[in-house]
Amino acid sequence: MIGDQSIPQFPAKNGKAKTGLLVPQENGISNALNHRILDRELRVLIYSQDGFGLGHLRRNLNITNQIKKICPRASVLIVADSPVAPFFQLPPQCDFIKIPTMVKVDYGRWESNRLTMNASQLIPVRAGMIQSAALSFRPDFMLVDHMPQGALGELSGPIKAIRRALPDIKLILGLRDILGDPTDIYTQWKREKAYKLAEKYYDKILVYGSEDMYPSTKEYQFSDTLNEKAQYCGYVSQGPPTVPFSNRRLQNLLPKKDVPLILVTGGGGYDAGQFMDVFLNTVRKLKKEINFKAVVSTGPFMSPAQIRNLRQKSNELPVWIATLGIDAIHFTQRADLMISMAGYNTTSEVMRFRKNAVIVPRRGPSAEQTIRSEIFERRNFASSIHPRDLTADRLTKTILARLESGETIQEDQLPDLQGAYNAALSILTTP
Amino acid sequence: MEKQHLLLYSSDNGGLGFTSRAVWIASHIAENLEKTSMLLLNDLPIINRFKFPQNVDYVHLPGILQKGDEGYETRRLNIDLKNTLTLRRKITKSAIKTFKPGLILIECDPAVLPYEMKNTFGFVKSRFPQTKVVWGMPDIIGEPDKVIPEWKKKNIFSILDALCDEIWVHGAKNIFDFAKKYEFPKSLAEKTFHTGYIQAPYVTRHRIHKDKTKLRLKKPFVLVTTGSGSNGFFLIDNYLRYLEHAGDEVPFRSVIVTGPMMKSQEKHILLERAEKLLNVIFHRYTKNLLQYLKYAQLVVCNGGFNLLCEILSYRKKAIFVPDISKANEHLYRSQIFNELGLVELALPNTLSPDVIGEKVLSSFMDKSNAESLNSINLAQDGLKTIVDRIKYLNSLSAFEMRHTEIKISLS
Repeated sequence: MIGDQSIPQFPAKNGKAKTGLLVPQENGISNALNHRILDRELRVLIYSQDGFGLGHLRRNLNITNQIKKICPRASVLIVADSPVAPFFQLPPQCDFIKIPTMVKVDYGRWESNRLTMNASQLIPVRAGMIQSAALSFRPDFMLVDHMPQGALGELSGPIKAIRRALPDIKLILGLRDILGDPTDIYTQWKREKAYKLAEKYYDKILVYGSEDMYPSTKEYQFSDTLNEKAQYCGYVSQGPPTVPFSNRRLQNLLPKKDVPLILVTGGGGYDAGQFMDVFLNTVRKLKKEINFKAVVSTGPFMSPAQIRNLRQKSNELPVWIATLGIDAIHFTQRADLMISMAGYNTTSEVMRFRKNAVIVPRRGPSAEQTIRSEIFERRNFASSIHPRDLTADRLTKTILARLESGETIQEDQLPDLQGAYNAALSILTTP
Repeated sequence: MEKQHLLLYSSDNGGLGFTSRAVWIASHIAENLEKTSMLLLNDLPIINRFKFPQNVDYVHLPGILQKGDEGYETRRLNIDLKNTLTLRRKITKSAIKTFKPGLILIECDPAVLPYEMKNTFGFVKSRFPQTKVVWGMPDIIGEPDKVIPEWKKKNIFSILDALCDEIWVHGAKNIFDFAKKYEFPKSLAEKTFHTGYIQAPYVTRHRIHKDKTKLRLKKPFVLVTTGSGSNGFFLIDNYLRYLEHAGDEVPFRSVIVTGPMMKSQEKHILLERAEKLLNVIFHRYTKNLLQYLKYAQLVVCNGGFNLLCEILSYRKKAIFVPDISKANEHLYRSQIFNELGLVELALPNTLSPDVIGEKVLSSFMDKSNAESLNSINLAQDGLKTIVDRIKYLNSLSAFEMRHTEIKISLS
């Protein structure tokens, strides 16, 4: 057995994108052995576009860790643009290239967050670097995250050049289950010729989700050609922590065993200030009803002004404002209730750790989080509150109700959560 | 002024001095030259911990590491050195071609793979004749008797001459005349300028609140730090042994910052011992290093260039315990500043817990401040000089550009 993961079974669905791995599940490892992938010095390049955040990077690092477990001598080069890259500890033989950062300011509108350059000036700089990196690293596999054409189509040129120069390379597209509003995504992909690029140049498409939760291939109108290449591989998430706290001081923030812990997180944190502020408004009321301790994780992108504001408000309340960084997973494991935004990684952890949760989706510009919240609410995986309805009263009531019921997701309701392992194995065994 | 692009390139193999210095310089330029977009290409694994001002973004390249005396290897990836260098070179060239900087500032050790630097930046002169290439150097790079033969052997004089429009030495000519001491050939010497020492960033008092329980910083304390920490074990081990031996008798408190590149095993050994001592704060890395330095009574360190700049900027008393390296850079610098009366020197070959303790105690008891700095004419306005020089070069290339345009329109 490799790693800490067991290989789950998938129900077969016909006429649609494949569910699960291309190879029969029980043969996954022996198939890997047949490919002799375990002892080869394979090279994998991962394109991870985040802008002002780190969600994609985090998902890709989860996959990287599994690649290293399956194939210990593999070398992974991550091309990222998150200003906090690599953020998490990279496994041995893995390194990163950080290209100039570009931030999405609105649907389809991007600019540099630091330089006085607009996207059209920045794209050639980034594209040139990505192409140079791939052509000199000469990877066996290239995993492109989120968009076949990259941000603003920056990969269109490089992908063609890479395919030409490295005819044996396997190009794999990795998609988060919910990309955004289906009509918006369809329009954007059409406009940026993403469908054509995926059809012509990619060998495989991995959907990091389950068809039952969200039929991504259908929602985003995959053609037959794309459905042939596509497979659902389950949700990618980080498992229980295997290493002790990296910052030992944070350990002291965990409450005593009998005191409930409420964990409040907002991903990278740059737009989480508002809902965290509302949470702090609930605490005075909550305090009268129940005994608890809350930890608010600010994330690396929250502005110092917002952090100061939260700190001030938290004075004399059983609330600690902290940057948990890579130790956040210890808090997730311990939490009795999570209050978070509806990002992919956090919600995947809510499922993986079967957490009692309240989620507040990001308003926009993308509809991703509102779609995900609706699914979670419908399936009774969590309570969701739309930001326009978010008041201290509403949040207080919801928190009390959730803590009272102690409700968590039923085990038999869970989708496949071994996405990181499945994706890694699928990438390495791409025929 | 026109919108300007500036590319900085720094490489550290094992340490972090070159890149930290490049970040200081970039930050100062960003504050003082509006409309300058800067890209800092570097290979520092912990670059994401640095704070960048508006108008500066960075590009991280896969790393290389020194292996033995002369060899290098790929830091992490499973590709050989040649491929890693190609990767770095191609990305750098691509950055230059697409970002089109008006000025390239290189902050690297010229003795590290000089031919590779030639391969990387050699095309700039012919392809982008308007782009100025400048190489920045610390005040001193080692004993001349060791540096000159190595530079001759590796052909560094002529490589620098061919690549660069100017050499900026971040030191003072009256203290160490770089071109003269290292016997620069005439054409290279003519391109060499001393910018003056680099002023360390200004810091305000920080609440170092987390450590309050253990140490009230209002009481006098000694800062012990070894830069990146990659060679810091020896000094910190000796310092801790002194404290362990002295027990409660020590009349001051200590802040120890190993540096982020110290090996984990080494850090663990030191941390465990430090935790047993009263009155010691221990960090591997802290964002507040300069705050500590600003309020320290005394600094014990290893004689690196950046720390020297920080000590000079904040006029601190210091004891240098130089790292012994191939060209004896730290040792040579420490000796010069010791002769000037600006720092105390403890030689590593005679270092013991007793020696370090004695030096620290006598320096600590001596209440006179680092007065001698006032009596020496030491240029410390390196950052201002750099900004002025960039302005000058910009005006020059604007002139050249107009000049060429006129010539073209005339022909």
